[in-house]
Amino acid sequence: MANRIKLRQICHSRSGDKADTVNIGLIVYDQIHYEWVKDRVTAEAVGEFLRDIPHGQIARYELPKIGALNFVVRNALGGGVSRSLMIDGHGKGFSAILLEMEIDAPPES
Amino acid sequence: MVSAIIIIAVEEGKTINTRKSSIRLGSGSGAGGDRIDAALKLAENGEIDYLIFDAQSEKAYSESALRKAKGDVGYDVTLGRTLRTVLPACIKNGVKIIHNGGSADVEGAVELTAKICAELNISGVKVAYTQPDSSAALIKELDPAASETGEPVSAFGDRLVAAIAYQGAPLIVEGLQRGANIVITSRAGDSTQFLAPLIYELDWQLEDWDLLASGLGIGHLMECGAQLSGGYHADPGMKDVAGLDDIGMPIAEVYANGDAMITKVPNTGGVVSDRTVKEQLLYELHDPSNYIHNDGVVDFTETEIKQVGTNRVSVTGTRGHPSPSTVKVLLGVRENFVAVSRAYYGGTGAYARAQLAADTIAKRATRVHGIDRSALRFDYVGVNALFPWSDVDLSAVKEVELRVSGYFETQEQAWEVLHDVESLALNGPAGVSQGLRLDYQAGPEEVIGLYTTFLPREAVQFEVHEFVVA
Repeated sequence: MANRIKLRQICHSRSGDKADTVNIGLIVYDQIHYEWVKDRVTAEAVGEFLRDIPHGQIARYELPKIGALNFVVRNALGGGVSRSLMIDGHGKGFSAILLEMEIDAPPES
Repeated sequence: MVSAIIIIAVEEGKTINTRKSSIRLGSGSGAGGDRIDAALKLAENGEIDYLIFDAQSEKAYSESALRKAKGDVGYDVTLGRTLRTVLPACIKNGVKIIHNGGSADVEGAVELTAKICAELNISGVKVAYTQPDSSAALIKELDPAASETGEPVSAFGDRLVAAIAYQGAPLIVEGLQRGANIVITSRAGDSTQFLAPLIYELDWQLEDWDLLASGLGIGHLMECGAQLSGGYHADPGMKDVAGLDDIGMPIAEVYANGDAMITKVPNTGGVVSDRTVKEQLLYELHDPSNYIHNDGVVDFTETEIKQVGTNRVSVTGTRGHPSPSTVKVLLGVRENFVAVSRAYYGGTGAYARAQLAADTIAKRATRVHGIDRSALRFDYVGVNALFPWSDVDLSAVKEVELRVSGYFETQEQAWEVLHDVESLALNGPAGVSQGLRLDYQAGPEEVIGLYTTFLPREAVQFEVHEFVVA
């Protein structure tokens, strides 16, 4: 069985809110891992990872020039920060959460 | 004092074509209440042409509107502290200030500015500001649908307390053309505030969409202050950042062709790296090819970010598309009350005791106070409040914060639940810890819910006025 790693080991991230939507940007430290991550961290895979917290539709956007993927997760912030009861109403903690997701380790280069 | 404000008619076509080859913009704050000592260092040592303060967030506007509704000041409450601190250095170094903290009371913000100039013995300062816009009246007339509900805005009835259109760059440009040292708007878009001085100083044309998008893109990077220069970034062992207690605010040196060099105030903490810039590019971004602003649409898909030296990162290649035909309007709607309270449990079985406490609160809320169970939320901090971590051994949890929160129709209902959390000490499970009243009885807060709607661009009219401090 392939070795598993947390995204944290090869990516960094930043997340933020717009109303009830959180976006999570995922950036590879080394461009060499971009395709590997892109093939595995799909919108569906992120939806599965977030399955136990309420959220709506997830869209993924690609920014290959900067080695990044952007996940836009609707209805994930308890109504948005002006009324959300969530501790993370601004959604900034989602960046750390996504880095906990596990994928197969990329081959040694 | 407002009567003392001199209003001068718009002088058509008065453009001073300066054609500079580059200009340095400094980001003085990422939100109201940001570090003022960092803004001062930027004004003193940043060698900047413009010091730009973003005091707005969706939440901040909501708070301003609520304060105004209660008869308190409706502008950014930190505006006074900001101006008192940075004005002398800005006047000395010829740095112009752009600030969007006018919020729900721009005239009040201008009065305060005049008062502070007088206190500091600074005279001859010209303040340009935008008058409250026509969007509130237009919304009444056109009654557009709110994006979130699909219902006409009139359905909010008298719960609608604020309607504010995002202001575009031309208004700020007009203020600068009139020679303003300070431009204050009620709610110019964050990125717009950075674009405007580029249009004015670098002679950019209002339909050169690639240039406008480059400026908006730079504004997007800069508008959250230190988030571009080492804030919201440190992760010891993975991404180390030195000097978080003294992060240098970011500076964008922008060239006439739209390229930019991002750096920060010298001899400060923090870091500007390709990593910090990439992260901030993604912050609050949705579709990177279609990032819609009042002044244009930004396409980041070809943007390149390259580290070219220590604390020097180049940003190039941003492209753009024409601005939308509508203007976004933020609506503030009085909704209900929220309240939060806490109790703490420690030792073996802490999680089970916290769950029992939560169950007790929920039962009393429905049976005794007539509050719907769905209005309450229970979080177990230290266990799964942020995320249901799959690798936490629940039997090993030794400390739990039970955080009780809820939506309430009345303040009285909120207080009933707050009192019930307090009375867990006498009536709840064993081994409860509670200390500061602030922790568990801070009192309910009214919610201003935020909604958006759109108005035709031509319909929304703003006026730019100016005021010269004697």
